[in-house]
Amino acid sequence: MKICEGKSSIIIHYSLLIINSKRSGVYMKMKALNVTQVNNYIKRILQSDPVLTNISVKGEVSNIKYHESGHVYFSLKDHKSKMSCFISYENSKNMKYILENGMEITISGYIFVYEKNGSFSLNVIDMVVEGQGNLHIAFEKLKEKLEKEGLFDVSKKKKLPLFPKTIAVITSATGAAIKDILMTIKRKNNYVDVLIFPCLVQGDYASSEISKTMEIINNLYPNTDIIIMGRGGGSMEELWPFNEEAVARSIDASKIPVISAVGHETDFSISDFVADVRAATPTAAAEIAVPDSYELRRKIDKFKRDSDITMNQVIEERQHRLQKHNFRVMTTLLDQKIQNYQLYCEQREKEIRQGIIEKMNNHKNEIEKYLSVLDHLNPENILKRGYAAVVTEDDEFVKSIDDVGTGESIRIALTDGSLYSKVTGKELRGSGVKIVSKRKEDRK
Amino acid sequence: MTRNTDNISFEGALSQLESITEKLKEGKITLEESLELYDQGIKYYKVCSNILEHANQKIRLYNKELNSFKEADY
Repeated sequence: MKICEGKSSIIIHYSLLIINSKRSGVYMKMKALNVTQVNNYIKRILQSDPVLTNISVKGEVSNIKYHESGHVYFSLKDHKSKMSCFISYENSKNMKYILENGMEITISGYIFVYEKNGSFSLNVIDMVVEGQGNLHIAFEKLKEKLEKEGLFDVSKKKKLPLFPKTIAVITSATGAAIKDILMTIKRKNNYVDVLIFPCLVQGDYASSEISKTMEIINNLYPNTDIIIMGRGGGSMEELWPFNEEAVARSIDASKIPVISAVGHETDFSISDFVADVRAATPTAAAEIAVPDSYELRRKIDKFKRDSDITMNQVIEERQHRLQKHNFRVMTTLLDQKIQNYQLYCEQREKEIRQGIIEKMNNHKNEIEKYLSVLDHLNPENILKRGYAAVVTEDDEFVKSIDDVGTGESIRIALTDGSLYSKVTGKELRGSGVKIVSKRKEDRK
Repeated sequence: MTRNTDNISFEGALSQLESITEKLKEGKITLEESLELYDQGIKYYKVCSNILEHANQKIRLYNKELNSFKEADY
């Protein structure tokens, strides 16, 4: 039998039949078969062949078509030949890679013959993609697809609770990741419970186990606060489960916030993009997930202290204000006011008194001035200075030499008594002529 | 999963404590309100403090077949 190349149809040269017939020498006598019968026969032969029912084929992907129905059609080719391949919707759901033209892959499956067209294809059950280049193509393809569907939307990211009580960890029970995670959690926090869900984290069955575990946690342990899923570092092939659609979908479907922590800092996985938070490493995931309970202790104690201080201040301030306005203080204030008024009155009184005294003194001074004038005018004082008053016998003051005549008696009044004498002569002031012995007649 | 009798989460109690302390500090409230707030603050402080003091961390390993957990020794 020879299977010719070309558009996934096959042309059967009935060589097998012919050979057999030639041997038996009944070649020309064979009864003609109809097409259906032949195709049916071929189907039976091919689909019962032990090699073709479980075959592994290596080649390059071309002409890939993702049908609306979910089936995937493509060709696998090498430099000389190509064959049709088919992935049913059922199988494509569980495929670990999204295929793209140009990828080198190894697929395993069985040969299936379409009787109607006389064509066959390789129905894919499983596939292996190897090599960084091929894996990168698959990675980018899935990333693009999920991004378009909105699985990476920032608006879909759930917030991590500040103080989780339970954290579920999906990872290998024996890997480095779980040890790192537990060490970090225990160091930071003595409160949060950790539920470890052991899972395969590499190999063919890892992705389905991880996604099923994600469902189990969501369905049976919905009180879980955070899910950490991940593993330690490894090759791209080893980390691949976290680049598979099944894992991505399960993260997207999770109602519980998911932290993805796959490999080292430089490793980016599809799960990182879908998860609510990407942690660079499992240790970092634990850091992010749990608060420092010792720090929280200090924090709440500080709140209490601050409140105590504030409360004391509030009360003290009120007490202070109260003290400022109590009865005693008010009485003192009143007393002070009264004293102030009293002082004021006394001051005024003093001022008035002084005014009066001043006025009186002024009067007194004036009176004394008059007194002094009077005193000055007192004839007695003149007498005291040695002057004398001359009076006639009739006690009239002699003011001129003409007031008495020569020979007349006069009395000279001095301060301490009087002298009696007689006028013996007269002299007009400034004349130098003494008139002597004149009688009363010279009196004018 | 709630560990305190009042059904307040630690997160809730902590944020209450935080805002009460802030309000007290602001001081734009009456003495009665201050005292009331302080009492509430102490209540939330006790909730937080209780939770932290009674921390009893458990690390458990899931058994898929039995759908149950056992204490894990890590």
